[in-house]
Amino acid sequence: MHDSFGQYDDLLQVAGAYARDSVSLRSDVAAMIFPRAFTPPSEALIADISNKFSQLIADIEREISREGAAVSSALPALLQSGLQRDPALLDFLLARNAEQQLEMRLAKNSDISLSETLPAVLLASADHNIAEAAQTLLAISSLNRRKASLKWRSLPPELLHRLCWRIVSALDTGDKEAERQKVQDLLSSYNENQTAANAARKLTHMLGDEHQADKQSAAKAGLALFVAELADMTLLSQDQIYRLLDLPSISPFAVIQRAAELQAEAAMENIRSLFGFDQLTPRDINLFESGFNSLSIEDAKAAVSMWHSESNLQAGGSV
Amino acid sequence: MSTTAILTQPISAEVKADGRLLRADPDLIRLQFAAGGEEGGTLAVPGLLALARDTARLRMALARTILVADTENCSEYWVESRWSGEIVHLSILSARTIDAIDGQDASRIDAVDQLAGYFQADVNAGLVLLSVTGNFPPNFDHQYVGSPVSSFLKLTDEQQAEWEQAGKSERAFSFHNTEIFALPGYFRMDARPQFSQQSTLDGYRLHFSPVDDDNQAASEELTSTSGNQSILFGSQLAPVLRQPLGRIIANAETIGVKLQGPLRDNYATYAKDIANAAKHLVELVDDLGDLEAIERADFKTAPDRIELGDVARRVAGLLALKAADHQIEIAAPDIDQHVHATAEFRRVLQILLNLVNNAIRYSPDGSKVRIDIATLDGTACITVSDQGDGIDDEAKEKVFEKFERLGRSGDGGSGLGLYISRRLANAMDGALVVSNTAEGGACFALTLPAAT
Repeated sequence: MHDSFGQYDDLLQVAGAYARDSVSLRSDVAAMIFPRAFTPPSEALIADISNKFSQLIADIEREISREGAAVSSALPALLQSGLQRDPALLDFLLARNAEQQLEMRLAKNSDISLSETLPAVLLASADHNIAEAAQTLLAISSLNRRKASLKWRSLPPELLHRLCWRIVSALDTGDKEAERQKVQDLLSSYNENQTAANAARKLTHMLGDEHQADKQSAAKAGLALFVAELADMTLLSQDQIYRLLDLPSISPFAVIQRAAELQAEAAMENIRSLFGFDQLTPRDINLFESGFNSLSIEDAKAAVSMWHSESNLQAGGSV
Repeated sequence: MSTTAILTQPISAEVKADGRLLRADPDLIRLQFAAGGEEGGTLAVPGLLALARDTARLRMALARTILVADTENCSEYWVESRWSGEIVHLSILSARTIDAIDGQDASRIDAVDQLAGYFQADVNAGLVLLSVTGNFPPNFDHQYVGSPVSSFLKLTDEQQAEWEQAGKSERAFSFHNTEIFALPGYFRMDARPQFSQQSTLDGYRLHFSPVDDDNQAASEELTSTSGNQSILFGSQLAPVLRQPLGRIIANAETIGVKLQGPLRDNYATYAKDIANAAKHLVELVDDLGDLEAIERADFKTAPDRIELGDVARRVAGLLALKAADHQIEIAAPDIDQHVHATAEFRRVLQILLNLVNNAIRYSPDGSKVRIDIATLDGTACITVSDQGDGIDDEAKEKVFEKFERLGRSGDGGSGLGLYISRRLANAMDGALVVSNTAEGGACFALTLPAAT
């Protein structure tokens, strides 16, 4: 290749810079308009979702099966019945996959250890509600960072209820009455407060404005609390936010942060924490900041509302 | 800004499974009165009632925030519930006052509530009810899961026909006044298609919300308001994208044609590639803008009496140069041939431009692209046929899917053109289908209502 194009150098540089920006912008815009359609599920994602599905079924079955079987006997029948395509279950599993990915990226990119995060500080809170919620969050973050298998206690109540009864109907042990009783026992021992989503939501509700800055920093708040804060500010569900944050494009994340009225500097820091852009140049940062500030909060909220509506109307993944 | 007060002593209440208040602390009684309820009556705060009923139904310990608002104040409560001895125990642990909800937030919450629906039902492609969630009527799930929708939904002939039509084109639709057997009143039903991984229609998610005179009017107002909302991409971002792309194209073409002096041929070719790539991006930007517009629930065309021969000749003229680059001849209908249709001129032109563009793109150099018009059984028809390789049977529906490229890349297509064209055709009460000609080329047929 030539080192120089002579009189064309300037033009080429300009064209090259615009081309790179346009390609990124095109991807970002497409991701904003159709966040899901833009990222079809990869083989790895499908495998992970199937794995998580099996983990959950086996975990519930261990609790309710008479034999306490180590290997799920209900799974083949449930697979045949199409349970793995249940939209709410799929959404839950996809969100858990996104959550795990983000948790690992945050652990890698953040200089703050779990023990320095806001939930760790809140363990010492005088209010036992806050301390308990913080403890739940820390425990779950720790499990996520170790890629621990999914447990039935992490399910939202409606989904757990539905799964339990589907499993009972799929089991063929001949002692339905005992299994039904075990399901009743399991459901009555469940407490929604012990799910990460609920504990984080409880903290966003209970913590005062003095913690506002910390709650809006992914590194300082920890993933679950940060996502709950964004959900509180934007009316998106926490699971929707996990999935939007896990997209390859940073645009949806930027729009959510704008809608949540974060400052450009804080938003950029969060993007660094969750995307780990070590190679960002000052030009990239300037581009982000000018783009972020040129998007009005009202427009960002309108875009987020569209995602919310889309999700309500088209809930369910396509894995 | 918000302020939170964590209560030193939780406010508690006991409620029966049906939501009737058995006992409550004075603060909660006051809340009950303020919400228009009475002591011993059904819980009057909707969020608390829903939580109590969910707890009784699921028999689990639940926790959630409950929003209580009137025109002046808005408070969010953290409420925990548990089921014991056939009674729901509610505890309010903290209250957060939220500054008055501004107009925008209030309308967003209204819109979200409206969209969230009163209850939701999933049906499969065979229209059999698979599951029901939300505030569905008692025993509705036991009674109807596994049954066809006709067992609980009273549809008029027009509604049945519309559903059938929507199923064919795999689009969302809404019925404003639907009746559900055994339930009083009317419901608004919003149906959204659900797709499998292979992009085949899997079924529908149905959202039902009760309709009365007041909220029907509000619903219509909401629909008309949403129609006025700015389109984020089409009106705001597309112009921002087109400007730099235009500069890329101009700069690259300047280099490509060596306007500013000599340049090695291979670099001139690279510059032309840059210009072509940028032109492709401009097309994609246009497609994305169109896609955003047509996917809105309130998208409508403006039908008029148009002449298809005129549209065909305009398209042939517009694309004549491009066709000539490939020595392709476009054969348009004769000037004395007329077929009138009821459709929006601009949209038919857009569809035809897309079809002829595709025909040029995928036809061998030196071949012929034909545009023919006809009236068949009261339907106006315009066809575009080429002498390319045609389309395999299994791909004939696939080509109309979003982002479908049939494995092609680098030919300048975005995979959106045919999807948009079919959506536009359907929006004009028409259809767009593809077949192969006797010689083996592709033949796209756009049918529209004939104009009298």
